[in-house]
Amino acid sequence: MESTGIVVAFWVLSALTIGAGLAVFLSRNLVHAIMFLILAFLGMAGLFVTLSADFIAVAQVLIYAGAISVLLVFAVMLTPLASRDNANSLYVVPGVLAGLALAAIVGFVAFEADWAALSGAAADQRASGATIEVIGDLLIGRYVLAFEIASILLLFALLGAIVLVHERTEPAVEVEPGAAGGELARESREPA
Amino acid sequence: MSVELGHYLAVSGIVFGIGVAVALSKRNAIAVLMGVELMLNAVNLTLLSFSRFSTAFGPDDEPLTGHVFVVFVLTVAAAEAAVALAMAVLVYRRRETVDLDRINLLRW
Amino acid sequence: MFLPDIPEAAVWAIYFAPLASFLLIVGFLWRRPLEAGRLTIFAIGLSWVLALWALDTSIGLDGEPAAFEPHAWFTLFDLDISFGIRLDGLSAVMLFVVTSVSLLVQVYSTGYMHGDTGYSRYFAFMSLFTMSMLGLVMASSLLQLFIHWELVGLTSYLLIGFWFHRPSAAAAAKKAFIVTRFGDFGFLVAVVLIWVKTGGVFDIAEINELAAGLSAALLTGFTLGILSGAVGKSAQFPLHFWLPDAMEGPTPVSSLVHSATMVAAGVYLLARFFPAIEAAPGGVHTTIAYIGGFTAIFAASMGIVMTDIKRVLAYSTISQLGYMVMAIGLGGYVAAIFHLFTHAFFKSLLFQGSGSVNHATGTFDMRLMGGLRHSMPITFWTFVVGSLSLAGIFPLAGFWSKDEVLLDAWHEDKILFAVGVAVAFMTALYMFRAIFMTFFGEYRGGEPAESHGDAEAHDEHHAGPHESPASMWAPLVILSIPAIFIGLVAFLDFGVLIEGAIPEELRHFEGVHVDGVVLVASTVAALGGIGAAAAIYFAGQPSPDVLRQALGPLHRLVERKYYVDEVAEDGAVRGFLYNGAGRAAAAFDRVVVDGVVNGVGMATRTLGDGLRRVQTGQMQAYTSLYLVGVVVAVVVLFAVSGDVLER
Repeated sequence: MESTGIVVAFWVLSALTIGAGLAVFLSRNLVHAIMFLILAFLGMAGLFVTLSADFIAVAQVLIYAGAISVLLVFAVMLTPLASRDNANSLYVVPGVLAGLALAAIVGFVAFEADWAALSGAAADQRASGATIEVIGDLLIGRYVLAFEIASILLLFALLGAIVLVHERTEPAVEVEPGAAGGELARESREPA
Repeated sequence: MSVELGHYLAVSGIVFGIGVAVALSKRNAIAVLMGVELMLNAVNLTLLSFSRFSTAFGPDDEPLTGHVFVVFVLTVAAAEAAVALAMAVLVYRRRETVDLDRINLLRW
Repeated sequence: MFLPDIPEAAVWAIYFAPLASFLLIVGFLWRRPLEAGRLTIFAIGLSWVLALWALDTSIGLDGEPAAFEPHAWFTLFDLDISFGIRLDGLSAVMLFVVTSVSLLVQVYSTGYMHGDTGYSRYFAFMSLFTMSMLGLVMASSLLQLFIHWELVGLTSYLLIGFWFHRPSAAAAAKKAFIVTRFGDFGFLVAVVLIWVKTGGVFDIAEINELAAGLSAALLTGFTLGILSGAVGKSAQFPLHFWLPDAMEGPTPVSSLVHSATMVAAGVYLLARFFPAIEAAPGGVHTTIAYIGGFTAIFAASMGIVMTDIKRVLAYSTISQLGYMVMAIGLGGYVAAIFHLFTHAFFKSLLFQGSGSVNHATGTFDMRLMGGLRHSMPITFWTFVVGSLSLAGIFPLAGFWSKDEVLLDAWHEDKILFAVGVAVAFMTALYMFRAIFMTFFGEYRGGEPAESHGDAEAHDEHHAGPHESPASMWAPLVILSIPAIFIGLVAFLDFGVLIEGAIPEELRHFEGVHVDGVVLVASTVAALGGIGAAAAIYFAGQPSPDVLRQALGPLHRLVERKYYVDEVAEDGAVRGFLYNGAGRAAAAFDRVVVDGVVNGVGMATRTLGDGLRRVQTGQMQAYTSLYLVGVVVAVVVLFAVSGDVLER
């Protein structure tokens, strides 16, 4: 890819994505971390655009930056008594080391491997027109079975989420007031 | 100066590494989930860049198979996020915390 | 001969009829004793009829083996195990003996065991025993023979300990089982030896054929192993001491198991492998002959001093089995089987007679009997017939067979001949001592205060002794017929029939002939024995008490059975096995076996204790480990094959 605009866009978007990712790791506040995550998603969507993946980029914005982020915010809101700081766990050292090691491995492979890749003008030539029509054909053509299974997966994920979070109305049982007191107190503190 | 496959893969690797670090070193279950989403995004970037640059396709092959994969990854990620967040809420309801250091029922 | 040749299925039926009887009794007739008894009699009767047919067929074939092919049983790696029937003169005669005696004993048992609480159990065991014995006799393969050999041991244990609530019976059963196991161990060694050295030839006929080609050492080992089994089963010295104790079992059991069948199995085994024994070095023959000869005189001497009538008969059995073993060792194959054949009938008769006496008096102690010839005439006369036959008085059955044995001894070994004649004298002495003490003189009261007789067998007691019921005396009468006449089969090609089972070159039986020296010596010895018994125990000149005092320590030594029981129990069992080997094994078990087991357990436990700390229950710990694993795996992959990145 030779054109200057693309090159500049790549570097800017890469810096944005990586920087936002680091901010997710470093920010002190959980809600701030979510905001930086959305920024990283958006930067990623930009990178998708530079790869001529227009449909995927739009889907990325809708699903990640939109739906999943909202879900995350909801989850934070539904856990009011949990801490809001973005504190580190006991495994921060192995976590960071593993992250560095994996990044190093992928980077090493990325530059050292002898990829049979298009480059320059050839790559530009591959970037031809809108992708959405072709993806649609593939989804209901060659990959129709996976497509159907994915729909079932989504359905069950939906049902699973509902069943998990659904509050069972226990049948009224005779209990000693003292024994059930703690339990009831805990239940009552939950958000409506 | 031009941008090649290696650059995209390197960016993908870095984002993946950040995702791993977040997933492993954050105490809050929701933050861990955020790390996982970053890792998934990095994988998506890899798939798309191979789709764009790879010469592995013959003349009759669809070059957009990578895109279809990404669509499925998005689907699974959405499902996973929904279920995982539901579980986080459930755990919170039982134990009033989503602190993973304190959730160790399977301890010896 | 008279009938068409017996089909193989019919021979199998001989074996399966008692087995079916056993299974039916266990399954359906446990609470219906009368039917159990009748079923057993019917099943064994069927076996007897078929055994007669088999005998007829075998006579028609001049004792040559019938052409029954072995059947494949199972294959273990390259070892083919098969089973089949060997029907030749030897096994046909044994089938006839076993089924005849068993049938009569079953009839006798219905009277003797009448009213016993374990009546059904008794007949179930008897059926099983008969099946085992028939299987042993008709086996064509060594392995098949060994299995039934052990089954016979097991059922004999069950029958001796039939009244298991009586401690002495339980102990006797255990003793019989364990002592014979010592012999069986040798037999097992022989089986393993022949398996290892011939590569899995188990067919008895094949083993006998191969025997001549085997090395002397191997053949010696094999035949001595066989001998060891026979010594245990046939109660030869030094494993003889279980048989007298086995008299704790019900008398019909002794009559079947300890006279005609199980104890004869040892002699049968030696006869079965007679060609192999003949091929063995001479030392083996001498060993066998002298074990037999020594046992004969050793047991006879103890028979003279016993006061328990059944034990007299037990020692007599050991002594007579000694004759048979001696005959085998001297090469007198036909003589041994002939004596086994006749002995089965008259010894069974004598045991049943002693049971009949016990039935009347409630005791086995001859000192408490006396004068029974008036009240029990049938028992008395049949007992006298059996005793005369056993003593070898012309022309009863025992005379012919004993003379054959003595004749072989006369030709082969003069020392053993002298022993044989001495035993003949002692046999006559102890048998007629028993007769005079039991049936003559005054009745001395019968059952002692603490009953140790077969009290369960008959709850009701009458004022004086009386003749036993017909179901008991009828077998006595029937058995006395062969006890008198069966010896005459020697004139009917009996030798040809028996020798049909062995290869032609070993056959040298030339028919019955009476040697003057042997005839005179044995008859004089027998009559001398009777005379001595009459003098001491009937006329009282000299009286037994005087003799006892005169002989003093010698009498005491014999009465205490040469202290063999003490040596065996205190020395061998307590001293060596229990305190020596047992404690060593216990120490080994504690230190080494337990050490290994506990060590493995401790190691596992310690390791697990360490490893379980990995299980923190924290998701991120597991994920960290997993990712570290990924990194390590990739690095190792690069290190091992550096060119993975090249196209």
